[in-house]
Amino acid sequence: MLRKSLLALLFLAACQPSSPQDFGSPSVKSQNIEESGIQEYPGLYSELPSGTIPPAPRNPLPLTGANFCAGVQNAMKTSKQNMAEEIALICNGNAPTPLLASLWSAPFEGVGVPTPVNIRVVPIDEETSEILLAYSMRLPKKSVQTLLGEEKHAVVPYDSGNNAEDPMKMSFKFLDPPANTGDCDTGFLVEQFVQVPGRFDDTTQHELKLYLMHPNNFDFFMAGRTLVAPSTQFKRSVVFRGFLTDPADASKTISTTILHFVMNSREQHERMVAAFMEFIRADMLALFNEQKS
Amino acid sequence: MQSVIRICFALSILSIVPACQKKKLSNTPEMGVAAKSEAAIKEADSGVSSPNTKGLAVGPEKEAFMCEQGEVVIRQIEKTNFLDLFHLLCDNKGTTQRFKDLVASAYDGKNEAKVTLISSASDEMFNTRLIVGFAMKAPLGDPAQFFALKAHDVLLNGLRSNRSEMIAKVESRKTFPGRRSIEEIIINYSLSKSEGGALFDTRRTEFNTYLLDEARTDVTISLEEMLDVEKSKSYSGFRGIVLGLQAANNETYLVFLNDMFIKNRIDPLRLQRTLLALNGEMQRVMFPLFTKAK
Repeated sequence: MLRKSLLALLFLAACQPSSPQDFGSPSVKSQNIEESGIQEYPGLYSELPSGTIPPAPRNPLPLTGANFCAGVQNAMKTSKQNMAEEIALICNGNAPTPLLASLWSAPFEGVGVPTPVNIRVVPIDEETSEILLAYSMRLPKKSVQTLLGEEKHAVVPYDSGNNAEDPMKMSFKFLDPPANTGDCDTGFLVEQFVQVPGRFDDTTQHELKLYLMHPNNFDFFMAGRTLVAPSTQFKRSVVFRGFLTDPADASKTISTTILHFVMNSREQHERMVAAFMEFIRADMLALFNEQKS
Repeated sequence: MQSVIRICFALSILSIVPACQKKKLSNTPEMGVAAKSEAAIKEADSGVSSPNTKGLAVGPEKEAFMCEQGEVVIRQIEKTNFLDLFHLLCDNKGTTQRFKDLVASAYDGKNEAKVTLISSASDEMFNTRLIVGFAMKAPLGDPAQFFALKAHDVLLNGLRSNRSEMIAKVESRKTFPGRRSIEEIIINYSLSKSEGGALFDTRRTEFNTYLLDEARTDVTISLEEMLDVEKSKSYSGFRGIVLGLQAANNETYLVFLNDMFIKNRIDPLRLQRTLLALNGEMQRVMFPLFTKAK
């Protein structure tokens, strides 16, 4: 049973590795991924050879829930990812739902214990559990940089540490992605390996896709991470994340995350959920800390 | 002469570009990239470079002819929107130091395939402009020898480097289409991957090659310009120039300059790395065609 619970945990970690710093907690090891600074470069077009090519138009939009939801709908018009069920929780068409307003009213800002909103955490049957969570965060980087962090985050390994009751390791690697047919801005394919030594190994593939929501606008973005094919362990795996420049501070971003997993609980629903929630909280801290660096 | 055109167009394919962030982009020396400051660009533009003959690729007469007649042809065919780009390679005193530098580092099949990052910058709206240049020293006695080559076939197989990929397909080819062009090629580019990220990045261009004098095949100029700009989601423009110049010892220089205006790509550094890698790969892929034709 324990094995089954742990397996369920692993699945989530694939989507969002955590990195608590305290001793004995699961840890995430940063990979050496190049990060480069961003420098302003005003006056570009007047300093270089003029040519006759005009710069792209601007498309500024008010930083509202309505424009956020309209942007999500724009992206979903071309998206091939199955996320409609999750998106419907926060956007009713172009209208923000009460849940979205609630999430945005109290985003996690790196202080205290992060607590996701429990939308639906139930046993579907003896061996299957559904976990549906949501949370919002105010992140200390611009929305573009926050979005780009999704790629880096996707392959950060996870290690519960040897002190864990059942040591668990997760690792990821990027595979050659399928052709982008215009359904998203950038697409990745991530292979996830989960191992509990001596007990099981599990491998799944996930599509990670990044979207611009509005043309010529860089305040609204979203990312989706979806399971390519169900496995014995994982029936559904969706991580939706939307990004909006913080209306109160353009140097920050409000991110909104929906996590939805249907997984094999192996008759250990309660235990699996408890462990899962611990992981989510650790992951929220990890995400926040990544954006600070 | 048809091969010249084909080779040139194929090489200019490099102008392809990937995805995405607002930055002053940095060099990647391991790719053999050399970036130039804006001041250097302005210097080149203003024509303040001295008329030195040191470092000339093939000698003052031929280079002077290329620069003088190149501008004449550009004006005659009413492609004056290329003049500022052309002036990065040729000014009123002859070839610029930039031209000489590119020629000095030309890929000859043995050395490093360098790509010079002449300018790279993005604004706050992720409009990124990249100007890159490179040169090849082909074992061909005359640019006209390129006629028999079908360089585009190589591009159909795709260029792959640094987990990036680009493919170009020739949509049509027309010989002597008018306006002094000896060949017009319509090319569809697809930059499908950038460092492991799948992109939907397409560009359609018109590539024309011109003789500077109908009696001379030792100097050519090719101009490539983007079509359907208003329909593009990724580009707000593209221009390319390829100068073909006969050298001594049965060799020919091909000097490339590409000017790209990319939009909606939020990681321009990634874009730059991809572009540089594919431009380098292009040279390595193309060179065997030259040796076969020898």
